[in-house]
Amino acid sequence: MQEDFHYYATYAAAYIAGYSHEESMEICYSAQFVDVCSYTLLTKLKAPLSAATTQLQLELMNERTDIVGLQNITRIWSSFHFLPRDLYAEKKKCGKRYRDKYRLICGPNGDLLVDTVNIAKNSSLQAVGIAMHVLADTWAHTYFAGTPSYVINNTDFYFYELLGENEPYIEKSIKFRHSPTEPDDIENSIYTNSLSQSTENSIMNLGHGRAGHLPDYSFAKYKYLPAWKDYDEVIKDNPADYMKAFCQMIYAMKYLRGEISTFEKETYAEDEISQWKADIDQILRKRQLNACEDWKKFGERLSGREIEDFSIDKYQQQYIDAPKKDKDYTYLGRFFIAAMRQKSMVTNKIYTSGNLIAGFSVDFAKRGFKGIRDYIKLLEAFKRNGNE
Amino acid sequence: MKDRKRELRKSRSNLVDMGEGVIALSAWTILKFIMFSIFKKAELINLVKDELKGEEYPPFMYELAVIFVDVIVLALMTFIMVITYWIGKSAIKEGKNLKKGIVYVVASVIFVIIYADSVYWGIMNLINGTPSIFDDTASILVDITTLFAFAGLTISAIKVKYLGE
Repeated sequence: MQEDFHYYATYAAAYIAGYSHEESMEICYSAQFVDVCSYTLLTKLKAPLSAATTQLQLELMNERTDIVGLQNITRIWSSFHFLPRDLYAEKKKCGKRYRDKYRLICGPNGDLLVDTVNIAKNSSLQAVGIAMHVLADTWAHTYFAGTPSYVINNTDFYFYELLGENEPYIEKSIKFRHSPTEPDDIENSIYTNSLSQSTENSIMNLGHGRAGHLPDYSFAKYKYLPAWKDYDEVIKDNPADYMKAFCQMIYAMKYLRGEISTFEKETYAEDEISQWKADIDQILRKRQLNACEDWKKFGERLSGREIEDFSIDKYQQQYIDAPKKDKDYTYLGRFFIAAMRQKSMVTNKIYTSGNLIAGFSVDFAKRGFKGIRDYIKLLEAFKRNGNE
Repeated sequence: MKDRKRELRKSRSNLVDMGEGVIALSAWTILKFIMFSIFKKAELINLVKDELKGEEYPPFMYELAVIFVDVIVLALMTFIMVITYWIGKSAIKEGKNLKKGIVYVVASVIFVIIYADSVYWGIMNLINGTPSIFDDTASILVDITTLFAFAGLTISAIKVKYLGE
């Protein structure tokens, strides 16, 4: 998903779930910040590099794709943008290497989603924002994996946009080009995607690169052949999926606020949006590259307050100026702790499922202060808050 | 019904891949001839001399004869390459469901026969002791690859036509 949903739609969902305007702003800022918290930014802030929640294109170009590099890439992308649906999925007639990647395929309503929402419980608003980003992306990025893999993430010329409200749809062949500077031409179904690279671990085969930005457009409805599905087609209905994502975010945030006792999969707060459903549906189905303006108007109509535009610089000076002992209590400090916690949890779950694709995971609380120095900060935060 | 559609998509995808392979391999035909003309020029001249045994000509006449042969053969190779390119392109178009045809399939079958024959005689040459064992082995290997490409293209095209009905 992109800024229109991660920032403005998350604000609207948070407000509907019962958070105040100020709390909703903190949550939605954190949700959007997941898409910009890179090594480059963390280096500038002299912040823990393990808190990286994304990698810029230039960072990816420089990233090695040996075992260590692949583990690093997988940790970031699987933890925040392509949360695996089923780490124990069965696949017949394949080797372990393939099965490990197959098990990283993203999808909504997995066990890891429950874990993601649960670790945000009784935690900071920044943790809530991160959880909402991860939740939303499980819907948009379904069928792709957060690891560079040709045999999982590749697509081919069989890619059709389905036009029309109801069946039978008009099938329009999608033309992909590799032209990063040109905007997608939605009128003629011409989109930019990553270069076709048959090398298994090429960066071009990370996530939904081969499908371009299509998964991130709320209006898009399309069918294609994912490499892992052995020539079976999948139909991706973004308007319906994004609606579910929005309703599930409201449900999750009601749970995180304490209004609901448990968070369950496949549960959506549909009643809460009944009076706005038509408006939301209209925003989701409108063919436009960026729905920020529409979502912003919707959010401001809900709360009656102005929603400040997202600015990457907003909290940086606060973090830089804070003394070392107080950095963890700043807005970004709390975000970094929450991000490391999410990454630690997901990496541990992948590791304990017998999958080494995200690397090793050590339980520092049990084994002492061995390992990455950054994670000592996590332990200290846990001890302060009395969390497990 | 679902399996049939899946098989059809798989066959179409294979047809596109084989079409692209055939186009790439068609370049080998010309490349092989150009390499032979450059590196085996002396052999060509000797071949011409053997053909004109008993008759003496100035040296430049033999070179001229070789050039003449080169031009004719190059023209023929280019023609074959154009045909091969057309077969590959037709296969790609049919694979992407843009155009249907049968002539390219027939042409592909002819190429299968030609390359099968080439591979057979190449192996026979090796068995009988060819003086240029490395060159001939490399040539056979590429011819086998091309044979498989055309055979794969033919099979995929037939499958697409059968399943598409």
